[in-house]
Amino acid sequence: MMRSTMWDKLKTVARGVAVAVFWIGIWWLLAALVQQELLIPTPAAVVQTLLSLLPTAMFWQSIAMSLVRIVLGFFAALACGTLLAVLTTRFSSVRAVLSPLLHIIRAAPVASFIILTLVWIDYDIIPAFIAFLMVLPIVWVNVEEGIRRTDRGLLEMAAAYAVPKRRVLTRLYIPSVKPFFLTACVNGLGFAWKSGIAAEVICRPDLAIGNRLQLAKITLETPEVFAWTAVVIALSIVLEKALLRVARKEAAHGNA
Amino acid sequence: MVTLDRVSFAYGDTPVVTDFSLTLPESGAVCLFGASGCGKTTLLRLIAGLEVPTAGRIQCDAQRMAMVFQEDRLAPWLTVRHNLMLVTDDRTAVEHALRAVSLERAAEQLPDALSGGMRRRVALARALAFGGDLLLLDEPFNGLDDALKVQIAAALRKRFADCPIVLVTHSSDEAKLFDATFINL
Repeated sequence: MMRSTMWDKLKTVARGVAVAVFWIGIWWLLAALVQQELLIPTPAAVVQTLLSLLPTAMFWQSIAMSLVRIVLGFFAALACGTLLAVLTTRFSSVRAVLSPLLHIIRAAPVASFIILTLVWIDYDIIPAFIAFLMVLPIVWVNVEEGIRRTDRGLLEMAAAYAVPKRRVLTRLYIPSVKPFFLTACVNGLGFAWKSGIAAEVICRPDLAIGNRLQLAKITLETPEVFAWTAVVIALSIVLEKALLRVARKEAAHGNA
Repeated sequence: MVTLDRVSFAYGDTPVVTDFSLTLPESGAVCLFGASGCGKTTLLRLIAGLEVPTAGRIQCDAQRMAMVFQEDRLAPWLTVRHNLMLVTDDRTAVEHALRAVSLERAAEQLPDALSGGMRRRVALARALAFGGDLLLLDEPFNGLDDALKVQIAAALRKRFADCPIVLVTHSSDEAKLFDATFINL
């Protein structure tokens, strides 16, 4: 049993490596065919650029500041989305007033918000605000659904036994909403990351991955554009995996 | 004192209970008996305050009321013990209730890991742990064997000896376990 599990893991890793080698091969082939670093740099050139960025303080500061902005926006959206979901499920009038806002946020293109906020708020805050705006409806809708799907039979039982409200919240509502909230977190983080970086590209705060991407584009440093894009993808994967790990742990804890 | 005075109730345009009056005894059981859909469960829900009558008046002086629903209504993420502790903080009462329904060994299990009969016993143990001065039972013994029915009915009668019990069942044998007075609907 243990041997077969290890064999399965080895097979999965080997398959992953083979797929990566295949796509890097395609990239290499394209770069060799085009033979213009400005259009498609070789993987080696991108790795070399990345290695030259690694020891610089600017590289790590840009990553840190982008992370801080986007994570701040993400957590603010978690808090506000949950609060709004509670209010809109509890009071139909609040729902009636706020639902157009929800539709607008969901339907309007992210670029419109970025351009609009450029006029309104400080450049440094815009990526956090955009990440907040993109995650807010995801959390709001999911938590609302979680509250609505809380077992009516259980709530009625709690009412019959006069269970205190605080206990109904902690032992019935929260465990019931938790899977919906965690799904919102996992989906929302990807949105926060992508929209936050897009906002940084447009509004260009001093220390930001998006700003570095834009600078590399302006100076026609295509290998650097590729290198920063690789950083964005890698960080996105790391953050998503970390959050999935927390979500799985929480889900297991909820069932224990 | 629980009194229903000319109570009527309808779900939308469909009348379920019409002009029904009843005064429960200070102690002892009454069994609401009748065909399916005649309003037995609705009457229990009216007494519990889960529905509001469309006409008539209900006076219920009970301070603490235990209710066993037709469905088990257990939180799937809480263990058997924690399902009981949802309604009471009295750990001793919880342990007594678990023993009374022979579920001491399943106390740390989640409801999904239990059989239908065991889940039913948890719902009954919840009422036993809670106690109170009024007990409402809606088809309480579904899925239980005769020995368990006798055992648990005795525990319920002991725990709620000085208060009224309202039982809804299709089985006259179950009503007899409570020495219940029959009320035909």
